[in-house]
Amino acid sequence: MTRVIFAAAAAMALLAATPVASGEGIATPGHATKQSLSAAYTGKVYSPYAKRSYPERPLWGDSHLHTALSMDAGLFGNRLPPRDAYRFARGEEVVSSTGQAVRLSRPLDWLVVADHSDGMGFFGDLAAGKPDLLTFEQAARWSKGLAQGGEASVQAALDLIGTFSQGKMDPKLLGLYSPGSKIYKNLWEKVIDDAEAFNDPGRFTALIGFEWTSLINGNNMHRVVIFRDGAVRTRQVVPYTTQTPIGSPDPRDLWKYMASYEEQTGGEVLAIPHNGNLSNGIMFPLEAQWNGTELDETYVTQRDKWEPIYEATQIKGDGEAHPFLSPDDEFADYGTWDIGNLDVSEAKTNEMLAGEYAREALKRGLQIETRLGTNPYKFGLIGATDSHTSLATAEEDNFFGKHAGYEPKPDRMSHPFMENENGRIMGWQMVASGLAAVWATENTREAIFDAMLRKEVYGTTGPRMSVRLFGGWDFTEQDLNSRMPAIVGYERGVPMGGDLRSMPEGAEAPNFMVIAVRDPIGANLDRVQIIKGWLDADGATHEKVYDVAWSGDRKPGADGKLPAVGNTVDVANANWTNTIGASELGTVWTDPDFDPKQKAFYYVRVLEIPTPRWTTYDAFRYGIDLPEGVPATTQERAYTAPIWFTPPS
Amino acid sequence: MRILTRLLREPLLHFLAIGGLIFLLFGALNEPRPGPTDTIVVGPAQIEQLANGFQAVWRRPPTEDELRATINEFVREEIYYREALALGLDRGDTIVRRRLRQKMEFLTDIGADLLEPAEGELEAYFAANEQTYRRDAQLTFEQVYLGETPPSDHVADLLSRLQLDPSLDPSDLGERTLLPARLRLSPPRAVDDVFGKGFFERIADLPVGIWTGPVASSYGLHLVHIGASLPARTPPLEDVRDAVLRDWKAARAAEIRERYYAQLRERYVVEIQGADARTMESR
Repeated sequence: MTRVIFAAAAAMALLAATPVASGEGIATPGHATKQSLSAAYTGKVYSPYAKRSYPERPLWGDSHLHTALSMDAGLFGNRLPPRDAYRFARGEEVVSSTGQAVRLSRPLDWLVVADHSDGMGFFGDLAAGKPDLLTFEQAARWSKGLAQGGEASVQAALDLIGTFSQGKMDPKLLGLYSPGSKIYKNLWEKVIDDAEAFNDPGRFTALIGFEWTSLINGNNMHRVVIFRDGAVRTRQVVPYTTQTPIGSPDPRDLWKYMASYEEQTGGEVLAIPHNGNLSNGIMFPLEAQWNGTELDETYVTQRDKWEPIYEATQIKGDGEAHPFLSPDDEFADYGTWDIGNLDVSEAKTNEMLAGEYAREALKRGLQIETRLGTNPYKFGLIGATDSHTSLATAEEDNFFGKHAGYEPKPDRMSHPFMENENGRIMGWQMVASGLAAVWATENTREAIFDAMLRKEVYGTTGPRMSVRLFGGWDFTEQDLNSRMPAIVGYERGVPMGGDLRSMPEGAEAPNFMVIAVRDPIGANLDRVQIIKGWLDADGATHEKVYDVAWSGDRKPGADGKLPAVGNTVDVANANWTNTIGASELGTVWTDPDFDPKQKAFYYVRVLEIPTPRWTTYDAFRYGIDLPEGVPATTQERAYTAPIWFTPPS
Repeated sequence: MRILTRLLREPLLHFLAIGGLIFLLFGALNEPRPGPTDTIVVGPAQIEQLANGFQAVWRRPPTEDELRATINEFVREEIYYREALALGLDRGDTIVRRRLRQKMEFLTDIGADLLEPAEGELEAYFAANEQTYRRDAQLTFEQVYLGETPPSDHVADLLSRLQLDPSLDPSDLGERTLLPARLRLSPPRAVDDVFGKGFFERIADLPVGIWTGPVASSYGLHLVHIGASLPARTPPLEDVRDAVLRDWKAARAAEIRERYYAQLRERYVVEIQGADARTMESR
């Protein structure tokens, strides 16, 4: 119900952004330049910023970062607590777990520290203590000693530890360790406290979250759970774990937990699955869950409700598309990890792939919707790092690896990341990816969460290109040439993550206005593509990749393929130039193959020109050779949330 | 009686008795390490804690069945826990070691959480770390994007029109762009995030209140109108008290942690052996 209201609120906000009817505002003087625009804007209110409540710039963040609080991260040697993760994300220099100074090229706008829930909160055990043993009085003495500072406080702390360890704690002091007291610090509460301390609305947002780490025989069904709320609500629950009987590895139970949270606290929460590529086919089931339970109305409506976004690219592989599933897509094989499941305990087979990759899931969603009435895979796409170093690094020239064992050092790319009889993943295969861009109206927990809920998000493999996508029925070339196309986009269309408005009389096919601008400090753009997936009358799904805008005067060849953009990378010096590509690409594209009787979705992929891969920077900086088979360059990319078309029933 | 005396002299009996004694003694001397005790008491306090654990997740008390399942799981865990300890499985386990270290460090952190700064202490800390709390300079500005290589007469014409006619709406001028026409009060990093490195610096000293330019960003040239300019400044302590207190506590926690470790470290003699021992010796 809340969600419905939110969608409505978002729609109203869009309506509010609509300029008033022509003639009511002050007409702007006409200009002779071809760039100027008159007709589309004559109706604006005087102040160009009034009556506008749509997002003006994407907010960049990492929705999935682990700190030393995650047991596996700690095991690999991460010593940095959430505090340092936040400091790093907001642009400060920190010293990594391996003692290396590190800083982001520019700060992030927001961060979700998402430590594993299993094994978190162990301090509750300690706080529970053994009440019957505790009959002495020391609280006042310790408080005094601690307050004195210096040596006295150290002594007091030591005394406190000693007394505690002998079970001789004063009950009054023990009270301080009880839930709700000032110093009771279950790890979860500490997680919340740190997020509160660094959450700085308008400047930097720290969303509260955790990772639910469901693993079925090594098959990955992990989800990051993100709350919209602050300490008051999130303190009322603890994270959901996968250990029965209180926890469960079944996502249906996670959704129950989420529903219970919303119902009981009045808060809001969502979940973002990731690494379907390591699920051995169980991330996006078509017929039945891994345990044989058939998909039913409950499953599809719940999944649709709680999981509006999918994390499609991260260090452990890119999950947008797979070459086996998309043989006609020459860019499908990007950062592919397909030898097995999460711990490589089971090797991968081709039949598993369809249940693993985002594009295929979007297609399956259309099939399931026909069968069960709801599309469970109607999600927006983002990227995240899933780094276990407390360092949200996704840039090729500043990549600190998956975990502390793979922070920069000469042999990290030639060292096996994972190896057993089923196969091997080498260190160099780590993908320096990804980030999430959120079209939020302001930098707050609420605005970012709401944008995620309405799927107005996109992901990149690290660079921060701006990408706008609007779908409508009557966009024109002139709309594109208006100085601020977003105004028209929201007025006459829907943004990424939305459903096309119903087809007007006389319309023949939907059209899409897409504009991409390169990262202000990054590489130029090669091309913009629209990827369409649809369901035919026989219930079979299809996909097609259209090149819709590209740099230079390239012409598609006889095979329909656009020639490659070229490559300026100087591998030996790990450098490149922006002498090819375009800093901005935009177009209005009409679907040439539209059939109003077919369900379809459209999303955008933006490709950068080739730049040095992180391994090339490693080779240059350490003066070593790239191991055999390691690509020297990479074409980084962005994936937007789709826009869906559903025929009128 | 006679029979008894005879029996007591019977060598076979002696043999049996001595054998039995040896057997007993042998058994006693070779008693294995005390095994796990075979009683597990799940008292009311423990049950309440388990129920609380359930309640913390689900925001409701467990049903009878759920509580039973939770208790059974606890008993199972307790049995495995005891057996594992008896087998010494806790030794040499990296996860156990790291977690115990984490718990020890946590204890000192709790001590630090009890701290309240003495009179003047926070002020002194703030003064010593003033730089950390400094607020960056901020600018509000509007901009018109001119493209990468605009003809200079076009730029001059646009500039003079903007300067002469304040009613002109800048969002209708210039080239198509996704860049925002106006930024609210923003610090350097927010401006540079959008327009590329160095843009804030290039516009920071422009006169306020008039259109000037062109100024180069990483996308091309812009005309710029600075609306308001706020210099960098140090806020009064009261405005940032929470952040200062948090940092002061964190600093004290780190200090106490290090001192505690130093004290523990003194109780140990550490020998590092091997070729590089000298360079690896810890301080």
